[in-house]
Amino acid sequence: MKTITDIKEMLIFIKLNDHQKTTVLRKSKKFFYRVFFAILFCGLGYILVYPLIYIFTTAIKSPSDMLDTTTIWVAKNPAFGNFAAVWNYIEYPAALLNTLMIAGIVTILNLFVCSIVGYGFARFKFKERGILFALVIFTIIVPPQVISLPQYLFFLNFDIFGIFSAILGGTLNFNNSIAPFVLPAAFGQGLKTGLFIYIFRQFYRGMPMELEEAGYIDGCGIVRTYLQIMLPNAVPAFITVGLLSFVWHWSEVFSQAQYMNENPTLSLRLIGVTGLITRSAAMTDLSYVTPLKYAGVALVILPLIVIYLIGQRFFVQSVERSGIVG
Amino acid sequence: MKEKKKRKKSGLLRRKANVGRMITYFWLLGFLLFVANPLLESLRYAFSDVQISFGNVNLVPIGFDNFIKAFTLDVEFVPLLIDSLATILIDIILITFFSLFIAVMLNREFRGRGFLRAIFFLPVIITSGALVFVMESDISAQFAGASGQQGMPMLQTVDFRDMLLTITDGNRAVLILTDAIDNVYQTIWKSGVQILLFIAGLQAISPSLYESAQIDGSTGWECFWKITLPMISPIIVINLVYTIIDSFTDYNNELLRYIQRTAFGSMLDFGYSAALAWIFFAVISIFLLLTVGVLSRRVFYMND
Repeated sequence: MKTITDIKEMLIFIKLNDHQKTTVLRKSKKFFYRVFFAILFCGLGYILVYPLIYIFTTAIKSPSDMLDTTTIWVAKNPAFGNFAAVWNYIEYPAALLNTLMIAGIVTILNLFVCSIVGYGFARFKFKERGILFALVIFTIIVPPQVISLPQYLFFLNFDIFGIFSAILGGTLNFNNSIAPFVLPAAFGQGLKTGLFIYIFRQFYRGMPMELEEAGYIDGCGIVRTYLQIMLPNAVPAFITVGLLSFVWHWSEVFSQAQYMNENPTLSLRLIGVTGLITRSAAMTDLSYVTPLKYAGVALVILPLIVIYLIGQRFFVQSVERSGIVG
Repeated sequence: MKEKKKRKKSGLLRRKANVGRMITYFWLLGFLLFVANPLLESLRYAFSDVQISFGNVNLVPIGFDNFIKAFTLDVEFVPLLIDSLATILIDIILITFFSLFIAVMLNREFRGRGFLRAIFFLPVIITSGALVFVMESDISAQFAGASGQQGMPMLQTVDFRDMLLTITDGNRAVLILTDAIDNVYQTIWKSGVQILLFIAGLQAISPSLYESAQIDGSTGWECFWKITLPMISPIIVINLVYTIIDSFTDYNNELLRYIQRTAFGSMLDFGYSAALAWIFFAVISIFLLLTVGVLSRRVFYMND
C-alpha cells in the first residue's frame, strides 16, 4: 500500500508544471533545513542546559533522594527548605549587597570608561597610538596571578607619589573595601578591561566614517557627535561588554578572596559553602551537604540569568538604528 | 581660499589628535598607577629570591637563576608549556569556526530565538570563577569532563582511534583529530563569549547592505561571503585574541595551576613563580603577535 501512495505522489510531482516544481523543491528544501536546524539545536541545547538542570534538580533533593539510586532527576521527597537553609548559611542579603556593589559599580565604570577609550583608539589618529594600543593588549595577557601579590601590597599601603601620606599623615589601607575594584575601573584598568577596550575599538572602527563626518558637517562637536551618533550605533557592543563585565565580576574569586576577606561576597561564600554547612550543622554527610551546595549555586546564578534575559532583548532592538543609506 | 580651507581641515585633524591623546593618556595614567607598578615589582621578583615573613617582603637579587632553573632543572615546566601551546592551536580553529557558525544561525529570524540565545549564554555564566570552583568536582567530571570518561560513552572514540592509529602507523595527526572529537563538549563550553561577540557583531551590520544585495539578486551564500564575513572580520580578530588569552589564562590550564602551586603551594617560591609567569607571558605575547599580525592585514574596516 505504502509504495503505491509513494508512486502516486511521484506521479503528482511529475505532472506539475515548472513553476510548481520549483515551489515544491524550495519548500522541501526549507523543510529539511528546518529539521536539520531543530536536531542540531536540540542536541546543543541539551549539552548546554544539562548543568543547569543538574543544579536545580540537585538543589531540591533531600538526603534520602541523594542515597536513592532510582532517583536521578526529579526528587521523590523534594526539600524546598534547602534554599532557605543555604540562604542563611551564606548570609545571602549581605553577600548579595557586596557583590552587587562590586559588579554593578565596576560594570558601569567599565562601560563608561572603556567605551570612550576604545573610541579614542578607533577614531583619533596620532603618532603614539600604536604603542599605546599594544600596551592595552599587553594588559589583557597579564594573568591576574602575576601581579596579584604586588598589587595587594600596593592597596594595603595605598599612596600615590606620597600625596596621601603628606595630607593624611599616613597611607590608606584599602583592604576589605571595594576600592581595589572601583579605583582601577575608573581608569579603565582591572579585570579584563583591556578586552573591553578592544571590543569597543573594533566596533567603532567598523563603523562607516560618513556617520561622524555628517555630524561634524552639521556643526556637532566631538562630544556631541560621540553621544548622539556613535553611541546609539554601538548598542550591541555596550550590551556585550556590560553583560560580560557583570558576570565576570559577579563570580570572580581571585581578587575578591584577596580584598574582601571580612565582608564576603556571594562568590566567596559559595566557595566556602561546604565548610559553612559542615561547621554550623555539624554534618559532613555528602548526601546532606551536596543538595544545599547546589541550592547555593542556584541562588548565585539566578540573578545572572535574569539580567541576561533583560539585557539580550536590546540585542534585537539595536539593528534598526544604524542610519547609513546607500 | 583653497589654502584657507586646507589649513582649517588640518586644524580639525590636529584638534582630533589632541582629543585622542587626552582620552588615551587618561588610560595610560591608570595603567601607570595600577598595573605598571605591580608588573615591575613582579619582574623584580622574577630576578630575585623572595622571602616573605609577616607581611614583609625580602628580595635577594639572584640574576637569571630563576629563568635558567625553569629551562634546565624543572622537569614539569617545559612539557606543560609545549602542551598548552598545542592545545591552543587546535582550540583556536575549532572554537572560531563553531562560534561563527552558531552565531550566524542564531542571528536568523525564528521562533524561540531569545530562548536559544539565552541557552548559549549559559556557558559564560557557568564557566566563570566561583561556579567552576564549586562544581568542578561534580559536573565537569560527569559531563564536560576530560575526554568524557564517564558521561557520554557513545561519543568515546577509543576504538575508532585505535583503528585509525593502526591504519596510519601511529600518525600524530590522527591523535589530534580524535582528541578534537573527544573534546567537542569542551569546545562548545568554551565558545560562549565568542558566540556572544559574534552575535553583537552581526547585529551591528547594517541591514541595508543585505537589502541592496538581495535586490541585486545575490543568494544567501554570496551574502555571507561578500557581506557578513568582511563586516565581521574585526570581530573574528578579537575572538581569536580572546580565545588565545582565555585558554592561556584559563583556570583549568595546567601550566597556570603549576605556576600558582609554585607560589602558594608547598614550595612558596614567589620568585620562581614570577619567573615562570614571565616566561609564559613572553610566549603568549609572541604567539598573539604572530596571529594578530598575520590576520590584521586581511581585516576589513569599512572606513579605511
